[in-house]
Amino acid sequence: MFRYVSKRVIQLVIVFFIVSILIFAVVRMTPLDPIASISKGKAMSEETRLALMREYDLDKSWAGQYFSWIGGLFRGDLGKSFQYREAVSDLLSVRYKTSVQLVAMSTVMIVFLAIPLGVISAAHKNSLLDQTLTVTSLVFVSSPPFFTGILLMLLFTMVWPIFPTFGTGSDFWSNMKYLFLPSVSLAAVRIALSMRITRSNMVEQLQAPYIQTATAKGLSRRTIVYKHALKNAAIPIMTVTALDISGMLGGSVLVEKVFSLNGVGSLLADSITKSDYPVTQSITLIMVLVFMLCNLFVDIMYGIIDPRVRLD
Amino acid sequence: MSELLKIQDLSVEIMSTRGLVHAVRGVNLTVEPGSIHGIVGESGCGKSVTARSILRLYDKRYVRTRGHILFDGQDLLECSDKQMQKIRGKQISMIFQDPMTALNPLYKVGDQIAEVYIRHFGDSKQEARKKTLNMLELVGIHPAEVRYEQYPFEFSGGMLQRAVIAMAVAGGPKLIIADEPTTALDVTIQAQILELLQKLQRELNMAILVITHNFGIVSEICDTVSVMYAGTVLETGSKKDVFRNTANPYSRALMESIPRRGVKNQKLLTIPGIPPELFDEIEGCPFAPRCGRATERCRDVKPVLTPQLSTGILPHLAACHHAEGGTDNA
Repeated sequence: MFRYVSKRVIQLVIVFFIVSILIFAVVRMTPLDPIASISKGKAMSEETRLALMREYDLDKSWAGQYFSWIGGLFRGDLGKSFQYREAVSDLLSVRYKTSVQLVAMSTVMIVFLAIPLGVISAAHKNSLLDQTLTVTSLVFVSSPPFFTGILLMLLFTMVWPIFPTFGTGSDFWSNMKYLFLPSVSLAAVRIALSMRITRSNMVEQLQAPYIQTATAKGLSRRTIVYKHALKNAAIPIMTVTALDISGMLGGSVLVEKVFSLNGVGSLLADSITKSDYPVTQSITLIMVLVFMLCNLFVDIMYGIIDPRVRLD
Repeated sequence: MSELLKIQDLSVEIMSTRGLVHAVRGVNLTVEPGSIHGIVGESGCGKSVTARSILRLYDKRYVRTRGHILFDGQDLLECSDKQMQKIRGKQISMIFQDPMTALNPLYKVGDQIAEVYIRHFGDSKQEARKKTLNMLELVGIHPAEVRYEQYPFEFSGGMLQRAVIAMAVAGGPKLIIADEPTTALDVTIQAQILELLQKLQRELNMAILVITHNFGIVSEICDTVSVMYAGTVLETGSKKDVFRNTANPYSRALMESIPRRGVKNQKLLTIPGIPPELFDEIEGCPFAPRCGRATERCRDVKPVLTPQLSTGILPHLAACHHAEGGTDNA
């Protein structure tokens, strides 16, 4: 198990560096002039331009810029935003809470709604409940998040105004209320998909021969479904959930825009249009890191659940 | 001797995407306590379906079961789901064909056996573990302490089948249903598994219902036999009666199609034709279209099990118009 985990960690570190180079390069392929972003398009003298370039490390070679970025990363210094002229870490420290809360709420919805419903659906295959859930989930699978978001906004502003439809609250609990609709629209497609995947995996497991053995032993249906079948179905379910979480990091960009949330996602969207290199590359890299950590967690869980995986 | 298991007019219909499958059409057979009864027949004759119906392993919504399955005088088809859970594993247990897939790959073999003790005797984990270790020794899995902690993928096929047998025996059942218990195993391992089953049957005084297509297994371990064809029992009785005083032409044809040892250049006898479609209703004797002795009556009227020449105390029954007690008996 130790060997298995250390192998995964080493892989993660290697991939992290490769991805950081890719992100660094892609960000610099945008045709916009970063200096224009810093000066907000104002005309300037050649000296001012050079001074700005020096201040923001833009006078260095690409390699030099890369190493000063990565080096700073380990000291907690993510560089200075072109458009805000503030440290990226300061910008993030104000905004990360909204995004983390948004993605966390959506994740809770997936874990505590989609997975149980999928399991129940499979345990009562072809029942009225199962068929209702199937039809409902198909509706949500087929509607994109921004569309769900706009529909939800319409519903909760015009018909049933109990949830605020934009902005953020002042404290944690009021924030929950503000973030409810964004979370729903971010999670809707994934709740539906996770439910389908949980159901199909559970249905498959419940038909496996070892389930017949468990039944023939006289075990209760509850033990058979929740102990024997669910553990076997857990691996694909966890894989999909991890992908969901990382997918939602990307999805949050859109949802934060639709619901005018002041989070990391909307900051990323702005910084891309403004050629704000330090912000764009840092946020993207952090998202990638979260994605990889989710997958590392799932890999470790595989090893805990399945004795055959540990031998790798 | 009062019978332990008595199946009366059992019929099982399975809803499939291609239509209703008449898998079992009126099975009658009896298993005496402490004896080994074999059900033989070709693939698709309904022997496995009969076996699984005893433990009611089918989903009620897709499978219709009629008739009676009397176990110790109690009709299993009338039992509630809760009652069945108490019977499964404790009164009647089952051994499956493929040991490689019969166990949950993610739980330790020992824990899966211990589950039976915890479930049926309310044992604590430690008690169940102790009993499981003894049981592993009994079925020949050594060293028990080490093997307990291992997962199914660390076992060989033969060892897994021993573990499955341990699981079946753990509850102290009166009847074990063994569905092709050796089909998926190497020939050398087959013999060991059969020996183990016989040993346990004698020591623990259980009855075993063996489902097989192999007459060799029947002649080696069974006391009584039923021959099945197209969902019905065509002949049933003690091994001696069925083998020596064979009354049904199908049973005779089956036995004649076993290759004989030591005979050179023999032509392997086969039964012409194919078994009937299970989607169709069958009028008359199901074997009539393939039977050399079939007459008009065979095709129109279904023969019932009637007493035949018996050399022991157990009845020898066969369903054939041409057999003793049959209307066309010549």
